[in-house]
Amino acid sequence: MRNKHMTDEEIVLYIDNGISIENRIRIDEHLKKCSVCKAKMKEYQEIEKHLKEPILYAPPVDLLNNIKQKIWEKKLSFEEVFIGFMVTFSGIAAILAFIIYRYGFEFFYNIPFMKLSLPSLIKTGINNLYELFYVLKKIYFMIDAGFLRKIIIPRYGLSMLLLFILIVISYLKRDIIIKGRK
Amino acid sequence: MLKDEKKLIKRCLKGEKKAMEMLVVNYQKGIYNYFYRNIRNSETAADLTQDIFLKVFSKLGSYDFKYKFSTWIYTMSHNLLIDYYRKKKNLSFTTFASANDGYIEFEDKTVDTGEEVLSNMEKKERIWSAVDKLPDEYRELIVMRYINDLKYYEISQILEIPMGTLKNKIFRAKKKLFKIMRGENEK
Ligand SMILES: [Zn+2]
Repeated sequence: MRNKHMTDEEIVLYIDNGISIENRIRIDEHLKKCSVCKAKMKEYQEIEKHLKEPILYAPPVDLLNNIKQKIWEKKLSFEEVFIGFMVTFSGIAAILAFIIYRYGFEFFYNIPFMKLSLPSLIKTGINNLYELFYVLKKIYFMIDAGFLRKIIIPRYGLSMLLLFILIVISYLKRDIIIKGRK
Repeated sequence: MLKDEKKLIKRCLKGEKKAMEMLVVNYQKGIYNYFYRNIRNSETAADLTQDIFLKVFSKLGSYDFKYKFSTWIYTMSHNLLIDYYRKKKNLSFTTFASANDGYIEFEDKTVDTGEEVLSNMEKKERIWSAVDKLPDEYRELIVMRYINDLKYYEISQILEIPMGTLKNKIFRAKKKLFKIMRGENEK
């Protein structure tokens, strides 16, 4: 019984430390006497050693970029766009409502550019075109272009557009609005 | 689960670009090698790796923090691999089926190579090309255990098999590997 050779299972378990102490002692005894099992054990140990230090291949260099591109290209669902719109628009509307309630429309009229007539406003804009361009360029580089295109504009673009229209209308109608209150 | 990884995933859930990139960097090598080792085609492996990350980010909301992230991502990878095998099998039925379709046949280096003079690297290469010759099921186990460094309990969760069955399968995989190394091509 003691002289029986070890099975492959016993050898694998022995290497994996998955064997009882009793059996371990018995196997150690057998290994001392049996060169056949000893050689086999050595081969298995060699395999185990090399498996534990595997050969890993580097992924293709463009893999990360491809993944990134695909992730940002992911289309926003209707819900995401809708919620983004509702949140920003109602947020801005709440702020505007508070200002009008607290200070009245005069608050907006007191903003310097509101006091200018449309032609003079355009003239000021043209005179400061260089500064305007510079600021826009800076903002553009501060926010990643892809991020702006894929996250900000789809989510908040519509609310920004509506807000812009509101501002333009209230600017054009500012005299009526203020007179109406007085 | 690593605290830092948990934080990283939470940042990904908020849509933080940097965090998402970091998660890809942390796992791309493991996932790529998992596929590459199993199917031996770098282009397909890269495609499948990309698919996995797209899945990761679209399903991240449903990830349960009580499991290890590696278990989650490798479960998806395993399912994708099974899918790939199935599609491939269907495809080779319609064209013409080949017995060795799953892997590249390497020339047998076991014959007439003076064992002792082999360098460490050569021995390693021999063992890993023997892994390539294992049946799909056994090869995947070896890849998960040694390439991806997954624990036994993780592999048993991924494959949904009991621990005892898994240990037995890994033993069989190693025995088969041993036989291939010796050039004994028994069934
Ligand atoms: Zn013996």
